[in-house]
Amino acid sequence: MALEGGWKTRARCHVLGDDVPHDGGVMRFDFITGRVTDPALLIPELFNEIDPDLKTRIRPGDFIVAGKNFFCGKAHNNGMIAMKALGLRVLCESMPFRSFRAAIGVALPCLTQCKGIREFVRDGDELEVDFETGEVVNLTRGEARRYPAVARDIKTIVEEGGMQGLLAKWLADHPELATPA
Amino acid sequence: MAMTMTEKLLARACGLDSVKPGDVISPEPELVIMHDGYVETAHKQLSDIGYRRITNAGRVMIITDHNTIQTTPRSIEQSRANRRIAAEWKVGHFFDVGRGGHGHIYPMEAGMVRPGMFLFAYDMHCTNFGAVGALALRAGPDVPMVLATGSMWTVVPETLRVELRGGFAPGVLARDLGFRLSADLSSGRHGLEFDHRIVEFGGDAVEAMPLAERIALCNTLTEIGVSGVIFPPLSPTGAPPDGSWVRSDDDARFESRLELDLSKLEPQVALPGRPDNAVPVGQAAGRLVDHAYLGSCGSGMFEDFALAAGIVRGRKIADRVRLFVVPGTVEIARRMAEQGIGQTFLDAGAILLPAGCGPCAGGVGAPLGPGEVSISTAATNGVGRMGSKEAECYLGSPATVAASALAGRIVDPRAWAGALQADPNSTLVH
Repeated sequence: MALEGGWKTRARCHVLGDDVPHDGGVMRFDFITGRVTDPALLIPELFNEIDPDLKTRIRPGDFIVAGKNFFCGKAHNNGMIAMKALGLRVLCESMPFRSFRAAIGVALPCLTQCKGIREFVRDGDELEVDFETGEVVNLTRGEARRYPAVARDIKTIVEEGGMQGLLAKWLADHPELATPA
Repeated sequence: MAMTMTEKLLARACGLDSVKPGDVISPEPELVIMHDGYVETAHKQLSDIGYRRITNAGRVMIITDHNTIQTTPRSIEQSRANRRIAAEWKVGHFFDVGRGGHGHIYPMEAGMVRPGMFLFAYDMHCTNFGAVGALALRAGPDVPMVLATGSMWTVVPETLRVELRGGFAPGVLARDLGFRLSADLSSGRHGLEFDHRIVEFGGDAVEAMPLAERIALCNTLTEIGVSGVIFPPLSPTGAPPDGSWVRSDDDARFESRLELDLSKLEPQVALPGRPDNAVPVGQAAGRLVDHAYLGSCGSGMFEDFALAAGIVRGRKIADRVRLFVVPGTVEIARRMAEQGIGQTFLDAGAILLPAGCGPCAGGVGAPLGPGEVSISTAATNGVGRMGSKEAECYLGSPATVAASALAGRIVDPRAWAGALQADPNSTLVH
């Protein structure tokens, strides 16, 4: 399988700060405790807690640029499901590992070691990002930087559709698991 | 190539000669542990895709520690479903309510988690197993991947080596160090990275440290985002060393190092909100409490209760307080009964609950009402953790909790150090 749009895309970016929590930041808390996982319900609520107007500016395929510790707090994935459904991609200075695991689990493309990215990227800038090389080009300002690329094995998981995709593929490769023990 | 304990255990689980931090790997666990609260969810996720069985079912343990008091239709239904799923999948180790006990303690007591093992578990407090020199990584919501395929991806973590020197002052316990170190790491006081790091303890103080204290040290660090805590090998059953035991090489590369002098530490209390909201107990002293609880994966060992019993023996808990005692395992509960410790707690006016997580698992058996204040040895103390969102949950060591239950307010346990030293059952006395 391939990632829709490929690993190198152009889109607008939306810049957030440091320590943006998933719970109560990316997604409202009662949707998390309510175990809402339907993207149609989640998308209208995305980022409302930190910027109620942000969703009106986001277009499918855009980049979310964040500072340190993006998706901090408990590693829930409801907001990530909405982001994946919109085809968004994440560039951040750092992300807790549990959250990174959750993001890869829903096949959300993330570059998580973009140190200093907010020094040359402003909200609304047009970027071209190649996750396979880690190159981030700011087309609006004519600057470029290179960050650690997405690891090959992680890339494969995202291409397979995260945990759901991997589980389906494993079952297809191991049909005996579809019969009772 | 010189490696840390963690790197050696992961390399072995991958069938590789070596691994290094940052490598993406899929290690094969010797054991997979899942508690009763996630079995139905994992089963549904796999069933919906078409799975009717799991891989390496003989290595899977389902253990009932969260929902140990089944008083609602939903909890009864969940318990029935878990029995059905355990049978359907033919899991190798199923522990129903009232059987083994806490899933982060019982497997060591039973010798099912041994030094040198690598395992995956659903719950993040599987880091407890580092206390015997095993490495357990949290699978969390990805546990269906482990069940289906027998492994899952992870990234080899960096290691922070912490050397412990000296000994605790009277009335100061390993939980106090866990609260303090977690606070100092998460606040940036030490200027060290800790997310997805293994905290490896070493040094003179660690070699002599008993299992209960090692477990207590694993607990709070897990809450701030470390991926594991690990100690030099120690057999929980007294089994002699074998070829599976590993230690870090003398020239292993650690990302960072820290040295701590235990003798300078004083008792700590974690203020409501987060377990790393640690302050010296004096800053919380005097707060009236309604509810106290001894137990959890961090303080559920026999020695924890023996120590607390030394404080409450011959005394009554304050009229305003209800004190709950939750042994870590059925065997610990039995030993407490055999050695009169259960009687000591009952005589003091405490309430004994079944072995397991107790109220740390969402208030089970002893929830808090609005406006109430609790002090406990729970693993964590976020808003609403033990019932009402309008309640306040303080955390302390078993000594601080026991002494506070007697006083009816948060107190410095060092005032009770005499009681600790006088009690022959208190093996944690320093």
